[in-house]
Amino acid sequence: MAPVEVTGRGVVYSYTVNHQRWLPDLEVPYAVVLVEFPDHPGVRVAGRLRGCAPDDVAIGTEVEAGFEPGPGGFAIPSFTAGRGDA
Amino acid sequence: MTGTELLEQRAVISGVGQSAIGRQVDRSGFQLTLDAILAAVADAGLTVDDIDGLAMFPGGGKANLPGYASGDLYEVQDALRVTTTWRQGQVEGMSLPFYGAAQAVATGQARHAVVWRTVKEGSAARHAGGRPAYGSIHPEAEGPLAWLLPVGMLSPVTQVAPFATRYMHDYGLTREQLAWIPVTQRAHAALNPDAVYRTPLTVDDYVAARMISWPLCLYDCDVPVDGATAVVVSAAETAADLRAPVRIEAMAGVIDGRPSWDQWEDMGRVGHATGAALWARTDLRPADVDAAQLYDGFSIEAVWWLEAMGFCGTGEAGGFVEGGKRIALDGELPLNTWGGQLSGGRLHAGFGHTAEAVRQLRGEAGDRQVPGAEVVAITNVGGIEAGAALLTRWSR
Repeated sequence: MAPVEVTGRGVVYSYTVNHQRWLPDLEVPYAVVLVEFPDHPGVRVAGRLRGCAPDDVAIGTEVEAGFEPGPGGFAIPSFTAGRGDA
Repeated sequence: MTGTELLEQRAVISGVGQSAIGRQVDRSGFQLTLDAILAAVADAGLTVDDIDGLAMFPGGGKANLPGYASGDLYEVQDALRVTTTWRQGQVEGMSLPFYGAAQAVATGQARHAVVWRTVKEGSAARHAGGRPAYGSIHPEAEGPLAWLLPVGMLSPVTQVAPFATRYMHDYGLTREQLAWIPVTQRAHAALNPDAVYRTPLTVDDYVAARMISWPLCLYDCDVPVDGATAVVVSAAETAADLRAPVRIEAMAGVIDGRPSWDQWEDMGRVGHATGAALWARTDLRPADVDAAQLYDGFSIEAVWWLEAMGFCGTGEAGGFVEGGKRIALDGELPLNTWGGQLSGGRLHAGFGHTAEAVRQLRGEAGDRQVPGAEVVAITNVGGIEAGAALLTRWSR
């Protein structure tokens, strides 16, 4: 088994908009998306959705993958909305 | 399967017992656990000296949600001073409280095993300012959670919500339809003196409730509580020694997806393979079920179990529950007759559901009794784990 590089646009399989402040400094609301990659069947990645209002997220939205600084200095997946079909 | 003796039919559920259950109960997890165990053993018509098997959920103590795990097995055995011939560190493997214990007594490894689950999540939530989240005990994200916590999926509700969104998109379930599960179960809880929330709830209340993680609002989430449930599982050959045993007609637990909250291909079908395996082990059919205790950590999981168990077709559960008549106490399939975890309290892992099934089959469910209940279905979890069973009256 080995890591596989995933490239290309992703498509939102589904999403949630979280409104609950689980941690004291958590800014809400925010959208979390589960993104699949048409060129890589079986790959699904969870991440924040950036670049649009949380409620503008929809199933089928095309997104670009990126990263942002996360806890402990690690980079975490983040997506920005492109064009959608839903 | 007529004529074939199933392993689980050599086991019975002989006793159920519960501690006080509440948003905060001023007793330690250890005390709650002993309260439940002693009640269950007495309920079985046995004494502590009869117990020779012990197991608890969860076993590993790895849970990273505050208040999730209490009732240490070593401490309990030391308090009871029992000799065990069978112990199991966990019951999560097969996702039914009594699965492993039934195997143990059916194969002669024990005669009377007690299994318990104790939660202090109500007190823990209070201490966390009402915001218990993954990682608030250990600030490390390990295993599958390493992919979820850093992006803000900090609670089980945030993890299951995308699958609710997807199910609504695919099948047209509306929030107004989904509301009928918490609303109807609240009406059942009003008849259960041990339920945590008993005041009436309406669809309007539901629609107006604060959103937690779209599309799931406050009333779609079960209620963190303090409380313990214990179940005694006995070898069927001991039935003459028991006060009121209940038969295990069939049980099953199948995992046919990736056991991960984000990678499971279609969480809406998490219980379908388990349901199919269960019905293959019995001549009973869904129409024979007199009451259903379906896991409801979130309302949407009960939706999925209704379909997985064949009580309605895939995608049809919204219409099935709408209006609440079919799932009411006098309906064709009374659902979560104790109020479920949504109103009765998050006793978790099917323990509350099992206790209620046993009480219904004995005719001991008080004002919420389903008249003449002979077959009760139980399901458990519905996300990365799945278990289901049919319990039947002893006289059958």
